[in-house]
Amino acid sequence: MPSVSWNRQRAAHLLRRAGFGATPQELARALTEGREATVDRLLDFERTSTADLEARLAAFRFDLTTFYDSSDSRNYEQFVNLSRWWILRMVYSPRPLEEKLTLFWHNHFATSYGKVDTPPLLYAQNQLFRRLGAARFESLLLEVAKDPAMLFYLDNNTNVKESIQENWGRELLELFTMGVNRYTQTDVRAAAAAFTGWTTQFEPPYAFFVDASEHDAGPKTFLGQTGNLDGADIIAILARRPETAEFVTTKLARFFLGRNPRRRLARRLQDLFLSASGDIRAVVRAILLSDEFDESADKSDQVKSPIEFCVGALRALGTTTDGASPLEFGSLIGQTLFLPPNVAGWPAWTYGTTRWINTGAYAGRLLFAESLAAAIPGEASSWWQPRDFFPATLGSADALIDFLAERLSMPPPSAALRRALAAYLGQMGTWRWNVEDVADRWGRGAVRLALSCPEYQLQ
Amino acid sequence: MALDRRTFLRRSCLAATAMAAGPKWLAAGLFDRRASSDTDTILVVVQMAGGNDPLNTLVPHADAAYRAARPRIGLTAAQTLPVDSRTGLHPNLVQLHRSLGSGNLAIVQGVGYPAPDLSHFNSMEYWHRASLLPKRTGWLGDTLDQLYGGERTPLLHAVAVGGDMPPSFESTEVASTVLFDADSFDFPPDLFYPEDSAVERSAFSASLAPVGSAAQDFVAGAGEVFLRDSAAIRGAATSYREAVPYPTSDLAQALKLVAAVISANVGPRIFWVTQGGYDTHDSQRGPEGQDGLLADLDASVGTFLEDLRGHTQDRRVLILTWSEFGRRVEENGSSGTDHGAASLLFVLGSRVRGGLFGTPLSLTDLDPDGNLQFTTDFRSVYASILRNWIGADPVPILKGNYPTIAFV
Repeated sequence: MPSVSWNRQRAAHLLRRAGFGATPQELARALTEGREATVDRLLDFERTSTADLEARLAAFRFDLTTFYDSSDSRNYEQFVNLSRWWILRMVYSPRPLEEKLTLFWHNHFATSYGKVDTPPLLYAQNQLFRRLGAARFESLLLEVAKDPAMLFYLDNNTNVKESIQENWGRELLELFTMGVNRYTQTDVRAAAAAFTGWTTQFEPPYAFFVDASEHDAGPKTFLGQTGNLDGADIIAILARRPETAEFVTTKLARFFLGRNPRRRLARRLQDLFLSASGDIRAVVRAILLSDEFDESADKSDQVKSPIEFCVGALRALGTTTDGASPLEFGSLIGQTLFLPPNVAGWPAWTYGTTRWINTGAYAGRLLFAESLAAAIPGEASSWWQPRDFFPATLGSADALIDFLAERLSMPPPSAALRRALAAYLGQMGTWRWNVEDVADRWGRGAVRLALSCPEYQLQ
Repeated sequence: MALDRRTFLRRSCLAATAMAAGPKWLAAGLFDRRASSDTDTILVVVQMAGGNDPLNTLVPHADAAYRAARPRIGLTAAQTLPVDSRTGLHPNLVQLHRSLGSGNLAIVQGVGYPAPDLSHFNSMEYWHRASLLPKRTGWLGDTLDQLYGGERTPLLHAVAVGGDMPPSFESTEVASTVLFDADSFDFPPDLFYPEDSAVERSAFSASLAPVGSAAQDFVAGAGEVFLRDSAAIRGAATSYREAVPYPTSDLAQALKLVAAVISANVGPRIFWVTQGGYDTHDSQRGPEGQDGLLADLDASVGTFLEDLRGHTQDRRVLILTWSEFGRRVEENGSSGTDHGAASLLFVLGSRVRGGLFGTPLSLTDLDPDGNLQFTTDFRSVYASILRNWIGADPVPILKGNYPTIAFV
């Protein structure tokens, strides 16, 4: 693509969709480097050091690996800390796309603490998504099939040859690979039979193993292939199916585009998936460099997920945070990490992102916005300092909104928002933002309104 | 493997309540909006998400095929609450059993639809849309459009309690309200300068002007409806005195909020609450399996009905439960049941004609995949409620003329 298509709006858009928004410095760097180099830097994230992030996280001394019984209060505490740990990664990571892809796979291979109730296993699964989230799909899928949290969540740990348990086998086909109704009920049973005996130890650390005495080693016919198939054979067959290529690439494209790709791009991604052995990184690169992605910059019509909303706001304000607030607000805003509503993940990422918003979920975002805008050091778990955030020289409502739009990584503000903020600031009586009372009153108010307005909910 | 979800939710709510507590500066004049007269009939839908097992709900204990298929999780005649010589209700459905005895509970057996594919998500879509083909609107959204579309001042007609808008409510014209709880359903006061709250609310309201972009206008529309309805709903909840104490479960608390809004006469005729967890692949008989869920359902719905009677609102209300599918006849190796096809549902209320409706499920005449075959199309249940309770024409909504059932 000619570099002429690269501009401020498109760079900001890329950094929102492939990350959680950008600081002015990050935006300037992307503009200088160009589109492809920026996509490469985001995507080849191993090149970016996370030493500072890991040092910051180490200071919290989270214990995410000791096993506690579900009746032990430390189990719930660990769940809280696991959520904080991930939020902190999203807020402070120099590799935002690594965290975005981890979020994508957490939704795709949705697994809930509500059933698994063993935070160290969810922590290990989350690290698996971070380790293989941009690798070959087959490698990722095979590790997920052996992942103790998933084995518990979809009951395959109790799938034995005398009494087959279909839960994992069915969702593997319906939700993780091919998509519904592209196989028969007989295929579901064959897949379930092939995974019999794929289980975990009874005791911590609940390690995966194949219990040969419970495995159905006999012949099965799966999607037309007959043999003494086991779980790895099923994975190998599924990872090469064109239906899987279409289902997985479409879902990836939808995550970044905000809607289904059109036929031409969908076809290209499917072909790429098949020819590149399911290379997820190559597929994501093709999505982010596609014309369709560029076009999507012209109208920010994807509703941010609640987590993207919270993390974006925490990042943009330069917040000092302990990572707790998105969890505290999770029920109200409609998304709680490690508690997806069911095995299909959050419906908004399947059926359309407007499903993130309803009257109640919007009310929850307004509460989050006010709690963050009002947060002062010493009294809140996340705080920022308006006097440091605002420059002293903002002399008009328009200057203020332009400043907020840039610093908060917002899509272009509407005339209605400009008028609303101008009316609000009309009562201010001074423009001296470096005075504490002024910044605390009108600065926090303006930030609250900016985080609450419809534009900010979009990307 | 239990999440202390209640603790978790309570903590979330505490955070929110702390935030929301503040001066009640909203105009009280918003309260006296009435969309419909206080004698209009009301429908309360209870979604039992996950696929409720019909055979351990209305138990065919005399059927040898049932006993053979359920050696570990089956219920015996002595364990069930008697319905007739061959069947009994799950032992935890005590209050529903009493309603059956007093003629206020209808059980529709063998509910389903043709060619089931055992997918939760497809099946839920069919039930929400009342269509086996993809469709953008839901059956209750279509009903709202038929009854209230084109209002000059759009009013509050439907309320869902929970985190998500039920796809059943999706409409072309009439917007519904969703709320997690009453405490959080308020424009948050400014924590620093409470005296600025009203001007900030006005500025927020002004920022909701339509701009001609579908996504932004959708978000802005939700903001408008929230500002429109928050005072009425919070007013209803804060002034409500329940006639009987409710259990602490999420379902019971949601129904208590529904009772409050019904009693306040602020308009809505359609309500939605959801109880999840019925995907009982394992430990179905445990406290977190179907046994526990049915106990919660029974206590919550039973209390709700008693509370409505205490407020003399019960004759306006009909409760419909549904679940996206039933489960396999044979239990699996995890003391649970895998996805099945046909199920059953409950219709309850003081003006419901009680009893068993529809043909009982056959445990031996199964479909080619070994699943229970439906005998009543779920759209017949919808047609009955729409025509004979809500007063809507079901034919355009269901795109067909489904025979009604005599429970109402």
